[in-house]
Amino acid sequence: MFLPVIILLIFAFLSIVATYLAIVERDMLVAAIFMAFQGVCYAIIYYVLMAPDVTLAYIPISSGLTPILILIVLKKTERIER
Amino acid sequence: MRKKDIIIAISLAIMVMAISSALYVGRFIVITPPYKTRDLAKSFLKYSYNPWNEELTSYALNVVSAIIWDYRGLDTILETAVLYSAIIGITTLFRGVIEIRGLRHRGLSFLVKMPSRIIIPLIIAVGISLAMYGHLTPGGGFQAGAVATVAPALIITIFSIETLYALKFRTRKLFLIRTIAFAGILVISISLFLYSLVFLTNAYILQNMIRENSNALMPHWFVDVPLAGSIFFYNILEFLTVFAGLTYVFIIYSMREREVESMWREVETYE
Repeated sequence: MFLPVIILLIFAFLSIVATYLAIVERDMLVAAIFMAFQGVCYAIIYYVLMAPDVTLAYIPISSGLTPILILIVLKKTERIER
Repeated sequence: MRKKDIIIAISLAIMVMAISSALYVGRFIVITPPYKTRDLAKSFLKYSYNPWNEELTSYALNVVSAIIWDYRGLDTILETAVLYSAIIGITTLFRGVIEIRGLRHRGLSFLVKMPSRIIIPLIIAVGISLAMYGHLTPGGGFQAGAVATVAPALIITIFSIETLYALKFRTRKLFLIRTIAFAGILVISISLFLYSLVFLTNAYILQNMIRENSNALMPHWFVDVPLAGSIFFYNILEFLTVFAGLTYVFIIYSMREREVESMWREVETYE
């Protein structure tokens, strides 16, 4: 009964760390990777909260499409934020 | 610099965890879902697949699919319309782009290209299976379309947009597929109503199975697999809409300079 809560707390902790690092990071490529990691954490949280449909929509969007979109934008603009 | 950032991040996370666990201990919030189900959830669970009560069932084993496409179908159709109009907005913004084939390109290294040749067909297969079994297992049209779109997006980043053109992905064709699939969703939503006009019976718009005062129904059994009537067709068409629409957006966003040049000329003539 306590296992879901423990998994939830671990991944919530990791997602907050990843979010903060994505915000302060100057190299946008690394920030995109942190954002994808945060998306994976949220997908696991959704799965623990018994929402497999949301998980299936969240995995491709958060860790597939959004980072790729950011990569395309970075290719056309600058990689390092000043 | 980096060490400081990590220390701040961990302390921030500890603070959020402390506040949320204090709220949890004080019973202000509930973290995990309750083990008892509510009455509304009970009725959906009871009737979404129930061949003995034909007036309320939808023959879908996945309750979420039954709710979003049958019991609350109008919401989902309007959501699809929102996605459709968002992509029309992007088309207006990027009017006048042309596809040019044969520009110089090079992808990532061989080490990245070789595994992705194996992974990309698998991603497409997972997407199609999510769409086909959306009424039996978790999944559905939107999820399937989003999963399958990762494959063209990976092709653009790892190989190049030329490879996508060589695989016969053209913006004009994708736009056409998206429009036809969305029109198909609308046609299926009124198909039983049209059927009732021809055969002079009663039927509702967005009807799937037999309901009160109406005997019209969609095919709900395919050999030995429950087909859930219109839910199956909606899932397939939604998959096509989302896949074609998002791939179209990715192709337009990743166009090279030579292809976007004519867009500026178009904009200047309008001004």
